[in-house]
Amino acid sequence: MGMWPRLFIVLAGFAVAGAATADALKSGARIEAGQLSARPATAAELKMDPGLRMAVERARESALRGLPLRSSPRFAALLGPASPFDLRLDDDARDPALSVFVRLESEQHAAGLTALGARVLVQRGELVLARIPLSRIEPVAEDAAVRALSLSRRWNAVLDSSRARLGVVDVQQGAGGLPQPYQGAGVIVGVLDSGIDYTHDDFRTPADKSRLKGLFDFSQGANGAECRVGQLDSLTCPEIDGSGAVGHGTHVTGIAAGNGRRNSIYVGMAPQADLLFVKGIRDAQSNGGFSDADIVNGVAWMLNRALVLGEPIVINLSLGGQFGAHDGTSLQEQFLDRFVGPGRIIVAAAGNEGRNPIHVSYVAQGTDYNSALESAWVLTGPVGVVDLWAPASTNMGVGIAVYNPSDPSAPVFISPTATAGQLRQVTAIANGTTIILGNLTIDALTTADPNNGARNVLVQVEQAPGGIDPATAIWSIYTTGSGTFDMWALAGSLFPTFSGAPAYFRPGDSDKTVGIPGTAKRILCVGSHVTKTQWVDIDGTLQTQPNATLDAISGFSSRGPSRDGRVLPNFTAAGEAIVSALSKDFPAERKNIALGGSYQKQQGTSQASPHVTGIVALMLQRDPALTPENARSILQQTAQAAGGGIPNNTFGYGRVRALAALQGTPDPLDCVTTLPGGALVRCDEAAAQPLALMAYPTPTTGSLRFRFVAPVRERVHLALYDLLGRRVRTLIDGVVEAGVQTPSWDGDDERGRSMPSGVYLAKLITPGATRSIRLVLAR
Amino acid sequence: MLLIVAGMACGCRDADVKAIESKCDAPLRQQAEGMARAGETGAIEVLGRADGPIDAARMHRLAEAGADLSQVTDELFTARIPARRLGNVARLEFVKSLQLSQERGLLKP
Repeated sequence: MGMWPRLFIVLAGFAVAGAATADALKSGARIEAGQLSARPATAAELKMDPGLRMAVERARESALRGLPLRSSPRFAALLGPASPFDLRLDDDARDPALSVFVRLESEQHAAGLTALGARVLVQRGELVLARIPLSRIEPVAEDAAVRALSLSRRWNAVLDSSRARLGVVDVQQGAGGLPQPYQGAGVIVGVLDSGIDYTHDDFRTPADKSRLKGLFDFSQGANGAECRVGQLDSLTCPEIDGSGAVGHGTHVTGIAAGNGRRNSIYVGMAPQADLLFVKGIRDAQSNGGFSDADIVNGVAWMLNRALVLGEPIVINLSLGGQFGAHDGTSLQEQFLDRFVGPGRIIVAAAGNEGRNPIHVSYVAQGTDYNSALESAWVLTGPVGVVDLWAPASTNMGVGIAVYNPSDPSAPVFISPTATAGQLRQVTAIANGTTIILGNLTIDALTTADPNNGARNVLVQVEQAPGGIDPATAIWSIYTTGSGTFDMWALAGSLFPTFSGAPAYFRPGDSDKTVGIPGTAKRILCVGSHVTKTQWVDIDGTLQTQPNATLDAISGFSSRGPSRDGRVLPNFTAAGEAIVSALSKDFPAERKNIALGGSYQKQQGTSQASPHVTGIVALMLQRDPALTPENARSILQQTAQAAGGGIPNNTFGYGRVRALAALQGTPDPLDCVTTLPGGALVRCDEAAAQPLALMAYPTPTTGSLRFRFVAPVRERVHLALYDLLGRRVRTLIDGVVEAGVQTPSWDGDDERGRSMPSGVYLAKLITPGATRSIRLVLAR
Repeated sequence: MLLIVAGMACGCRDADVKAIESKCDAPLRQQAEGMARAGETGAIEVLGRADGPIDAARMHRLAEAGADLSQVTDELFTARIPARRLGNVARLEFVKSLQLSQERGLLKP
């Protein structure tokens, strides 16, 4: 089994090519496509960014040819609307000035710029924005007090860009024939994440009140603690979005629902939505991850709060993992599927494993190690885990081999296999030595998982006392017997892939890497595509997102399908170079902080998911009883096809389009009501009737919304009764503000017990009138 | 070997061992076993599923068996269970599945 030397040769080849390129770049040599001769850049040119160098060089070329700048095709190309440069010839046509960011050695040198012909517009310390005539650029660059020059770019904020590219701006403006603008009013955006900088202006109202209607913090105390609205308003809630998670939750929430109060360029998808937030990490500084149980409990908390607030809710989960069956049957996913319904929708990120070979699937064969197929397994730490799932009918054994990296021609250890119903626990010791390689566990006890009936094998390697670091050896998983299976490498480990491998070697891939809970059956799963490739940092420097092509899938975006064959993700949204709210508790790198501060650039399906979350909030504003299935169907049907045949396991149904989705979101025509005289009419026909009590949808499966208008601030009693007149549930008993009221009923009685199918009576009592309506609960 | 390992997890009877093997997922079994080996007596966070809705009587039985319930939705529940009492909970006839509460991460590339 001499495959390893080939692998090392392939990898070494990449390293050599990379080094040559780096050396060329370090030398300052110019490398341009099609250029036969090259000269080294001057010291002044090296201080300029590429855009400025290009402008100066093309101006020089125009002068040599005696062409006016406007008539020079190569210079004129920099002036067009598609140019990223803020180049305007609006003052002196012979020697136009450019807007240039200048970084000086110290702030005292600004006066020197003026002497060189520059006009200083703004100065902040050593950073200056100046207008500099083209002819004076090089003299300025040659000045010893000048460290760097960067041409001012014409740029759009990235979040603003993704709003436009996804069609959200049109929806927020009520364009495209929509009956009104939709900005998320009356809808709750819930987020469970690392934490939130709830003090950020974008999460406060124009009146400087918190937009959060509640916050639960699992890092407080043994079981978490809640911050109420008063604490959030007065900025006395102790919760922070600590540096351990790079301000993830703040960023995600800003995408879904930031209102751009700090900077109107960075408006999120649903800027008028109310917010609920759960800090799901149990560390105040946001180090670590999320427990399945806390995810379930946190989501349940938000749903209960939404019920009390009487608003529909969409919850964002920009989190996940690969441990589990990948078929939607994990208990976490079963919980989430059970939680959703009309007016209650969950959106999850697909995962960021699109570049990582963590998955292997093939048909097992052979009777022992020598006749088996195997996959190399590279560990990155002292623990490695593989989770293997197969149909219960599969008849296979799973074993482990270990290779010495310095002589990988033959294994130094081969474990026996574990077959169905067996548990192997052994300490691996290298043949003929006392070198302890690690403690191995192959747990194949689960022959029929209670949730999906499948076989499950857990393989685990741990460092043994007195043993080597397992990451320094090469591990391999081999399988005997028959049957198809899928396995995932966890804890940072990989199944490496390389060309020229022998036939018995099965490399890893990134198929079926949509994580959990992305594989849940009733939640919306979002991959990432590129809507922007550049941004301007806080120093005015144009930064470029690596490996990003406009409209292409993000390389990191996890691929489907689910293990049970469902196409995933459902669709994609903007997930690269996204600028959104920056937590005050995370010291981001300057290159990732957007010009003006308070916002930072991040990327991931974590960023794609809240774009869809916000769009769903807009859809819920249009139809508060929208179901998750309908939301998914509308978003799929209106998506811009991409990735070949539709659907596919890269883009799903394509790139989401918010305007088309809102146009495709029907008014709730299944909403009916009785007028005071008893006539049954559609809700939209009755909407103008004060004190009309509406309920929709009806029949309901257990999630029903009421709607009535309180003409003034008044005391209201709304309760449900069975046909024997027994009160089932009191929904409102108190004073409500004037305006539209939309309380919900989840189908439970006062004690939280699910009520059986049947006919119920809702009665609304106000000081001036009593209204009632019959409902049908059909479970 | 199998009975010894599983028995270490709960320190109890063969019936518990069989229940753990058939109802607990592999990560939960390994977690319980690891805690037993290390002499740890703490609680394990789990997600569980019963064969039907969990009513007050079932909640009472789960609590008696050692489950500190957090969330109950129809037949699903989350709970903390002392490692040594895992077998008690798994042995309840209406409990069909117990899974270790896994840690999930933020989705940053």
